[in-house]
Amino acid sequence: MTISALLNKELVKMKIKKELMQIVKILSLCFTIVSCGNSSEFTNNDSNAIVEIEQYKSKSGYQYLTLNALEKETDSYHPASFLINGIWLHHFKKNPYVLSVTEGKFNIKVSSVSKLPAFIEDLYISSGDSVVIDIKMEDDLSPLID
Amino acid sequence: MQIVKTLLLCLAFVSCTNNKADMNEMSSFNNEERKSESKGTYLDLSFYHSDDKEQFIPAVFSINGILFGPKQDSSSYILPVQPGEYTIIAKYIGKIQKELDLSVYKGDSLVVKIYLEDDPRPLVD
Repeated sequence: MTISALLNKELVKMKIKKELMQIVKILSLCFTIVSCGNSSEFTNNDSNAIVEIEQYKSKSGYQYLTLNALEKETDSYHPASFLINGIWLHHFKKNPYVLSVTEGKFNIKVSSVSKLPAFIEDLYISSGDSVVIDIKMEDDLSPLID
Repeated sequence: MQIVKTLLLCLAFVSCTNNKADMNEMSSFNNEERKSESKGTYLDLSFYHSDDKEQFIPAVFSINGILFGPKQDSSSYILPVQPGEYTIIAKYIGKIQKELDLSVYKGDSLVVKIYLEDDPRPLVD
């Protein structure tokens, strides 16, 4: 075998090695992106609720989350169920629902009979914040039984 | 060699992402996994003294960042939840704060009894 043939063989080997390395690099990059991606459970697909978020500093220095489930048309309070970070909480009184919370991220789903659900994703409450959320819920016009 | 290095890096990354802090200290809590009759998913929490495991504590606790106040009666806190991961932090005056990481599966009713140990530290230094 001549030297040039050997060199060619080595070059081909090097090329294959390089390509393989690039593939592995791309795969590891894809893997990193997929693993770092935030998988959110909530989707904002068919909700037309108006969500107004107001952020205040609480006098006590603790964190509070106030949820106001309201009728879209009249702005009056509506009894609702709240799914907050996986926990179902029911508030059937016609007044604000005030929760003490820790600093962190919150995913909220608001649902009620005959209303379209509303979603609030990745709401971050900082230390000493009092967050007030008005959820103006829209009527669900689809029949209860098809 | 470079391929091996990259694969090792990936492996290290995977092992780091799955490395959860194991807060489940022995004998500080007790959990029973039951199938709920209603097929709903529930978390049933109650708090007791570690010395006297029958004596109820009206502890303050948080689940996934939501704070819950103490119950006046000795009944447990039953919360409907979605299947998933939950971090429970229980506190009471004179007791050491306890943190638990739990997984709740669909249709399960997880009964958790948390035993809080005395905190020997003085309230004022």
